[in-house]
Amino acid sequence: MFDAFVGGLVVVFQWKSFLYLLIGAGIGFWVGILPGLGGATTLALMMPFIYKMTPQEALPFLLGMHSVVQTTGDITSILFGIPGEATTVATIVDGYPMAKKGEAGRAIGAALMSSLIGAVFGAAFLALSIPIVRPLVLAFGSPEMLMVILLGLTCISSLSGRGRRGLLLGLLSGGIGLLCSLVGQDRQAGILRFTFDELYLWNGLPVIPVLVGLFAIPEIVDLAVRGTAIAGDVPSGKLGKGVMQGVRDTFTHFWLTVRCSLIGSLIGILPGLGGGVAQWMSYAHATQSAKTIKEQEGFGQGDIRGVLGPGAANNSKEGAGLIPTVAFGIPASSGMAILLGAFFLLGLVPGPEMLTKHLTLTFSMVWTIVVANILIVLVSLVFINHIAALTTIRGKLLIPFLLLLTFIGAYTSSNHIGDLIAVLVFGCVGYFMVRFSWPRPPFILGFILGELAETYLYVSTSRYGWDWLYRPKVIIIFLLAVAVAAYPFIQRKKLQKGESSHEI
Amino acid sequence: MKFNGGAALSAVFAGISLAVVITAASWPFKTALFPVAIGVPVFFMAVTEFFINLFQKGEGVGDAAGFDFKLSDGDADSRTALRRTLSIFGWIFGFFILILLIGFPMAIPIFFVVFYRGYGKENWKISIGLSAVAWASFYGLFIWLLNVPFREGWILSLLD
Repeated sequence: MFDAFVGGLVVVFQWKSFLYLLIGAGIGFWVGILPGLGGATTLALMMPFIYKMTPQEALPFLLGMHSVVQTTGDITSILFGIPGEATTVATIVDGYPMAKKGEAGRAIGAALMSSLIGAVFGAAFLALSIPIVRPLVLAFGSPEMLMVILLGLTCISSLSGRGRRGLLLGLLSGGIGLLCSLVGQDRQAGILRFTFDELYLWNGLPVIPVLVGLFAIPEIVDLAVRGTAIAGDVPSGKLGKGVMQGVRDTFTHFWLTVRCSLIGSLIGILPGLGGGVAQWMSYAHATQSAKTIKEQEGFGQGDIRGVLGPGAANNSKEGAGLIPTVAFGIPASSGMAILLGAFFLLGLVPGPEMLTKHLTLTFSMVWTIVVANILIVLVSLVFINHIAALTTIRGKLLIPFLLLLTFIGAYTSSNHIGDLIAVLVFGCVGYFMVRFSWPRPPFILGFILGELAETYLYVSTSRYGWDWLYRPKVIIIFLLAVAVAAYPFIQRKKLQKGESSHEI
Repeated sequence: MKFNGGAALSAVFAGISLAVVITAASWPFKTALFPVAIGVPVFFMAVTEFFINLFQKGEGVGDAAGFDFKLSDGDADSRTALRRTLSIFGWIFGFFILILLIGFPMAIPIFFVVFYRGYGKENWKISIGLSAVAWASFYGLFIWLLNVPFREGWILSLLD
């Protein structure tokens, strides 16, 4: 096993493999920065290029690209408030307010370093899981998956505001997200729900236009209303100065970064959930790290921990997502499904052979994730001053470019005019939600998890009747979900108690 | 009692959730279960929020605001802020209509020039220069390199 581990590293540094890794990581860098153009789409676009490659060349090329997309996606989210990737939306919540305060450099530094730690953690998780992967993945049937989704939904309580009204607004927002997830053909009976006779809606509302509209439009409107640059009147020279502070922040909150990486890895290993869930669960976890009420209130207004959590989780899930893909041929996400196609093109069959005969190649994937992320983080850190300076460009000059990125980012989702309509509709919804202080993160959780929850509920009930409710793992995860839902209230009480005892 | 924007938003979502429940009532059990199970509580929560807005003293939701982006208080007074908001929404919808009518490749340079001249009050040099940069980046990346199929717009389709 150790030989294969070292052999994997040697494979990555063979000149041809390394060259392809560099090309892939370079493409991934730009794909991450451009909103909407996701890692999965680009993987699909790159497939024709791998026909003549060997597995030792093709995998560094594809994985090198795919594994850095989330890393640079955070940059767009922080600088412009437009999600670079569907999986980097949570970074906006605290990253963009930091950019507005002139702390773009610090936020990007923290996002990059936490992404790197997350990526290394995910790769280590993949490496360590190889011997025990089989029982780990098979332990999760549809009832357990349903409970994990419930666990994700309970994070709404952490993402809501204070008090009963805060919870009401959070639940309302999550409920509306769930309602939006119901659009499309019902998976059980095939009946069309809320499609208004539009073929475009048969597959449901596409995630990217909804997320881009919900987050980009309110931020663009706000920029226009302010009439300044994103960073206001902060001198451009100061923007990049916080980079090292951001890097240091990652180590100040090292265990938070590690815990969020673990959340990302655990979510990443479960097929179907993906980064959309991991980022918000880790963000919710980050908000729970507040030690005082004042600290807690700082989330959403530029708390560095709100950048570190999602940054780490997004990248750690990539390595973990390879586990079911490589070991069983069960793709954990759409990107992994395309990668699975690449495996077959290269003559590789996922399964036991990948853990025995091709173990060196499997470990080379681990190393590819690590090396590609290190390279991209280093390159980004070198150019961070120039990148952060974009926030000092006058708003009036920037707005058309942001609108162009928003519309094209949405349009490339399904190349349909409906994508643009979805951006406008959800842009207006997002604006009014922000205007009247309805939290958007619970909406996204509901929207992403709604369809999965319904599917797994029916699969569980059809397969096991109601007996699945008594499965030990279901009960354990359910109790965990109850604890996660209740924790913000317990924490609040503790913080209030602590503060009142201090005052005395 | 005061009918404000928050109340209007709650009323809209109460109406939508009610419509969801009524529509789902005619579907088979399995199809209707989720829409009804979600729609009913959303309706009651939206109605509750509606009445809270109606009878609350003061503005906004105060501490109840969740972890999310907040619109800038800014230097602009509320009248200017409203005018700018309506104006930028107008530009956003205008860009969409332009794309719909003449397609992305032609809409991009036209929108950029008109926006910079009309909204940004920039000089011709900057307006045309940045429009050219935007169009070249768009064409080079999405059409030339990635071959993304862009629709040509209603007017051009009619002319064909």
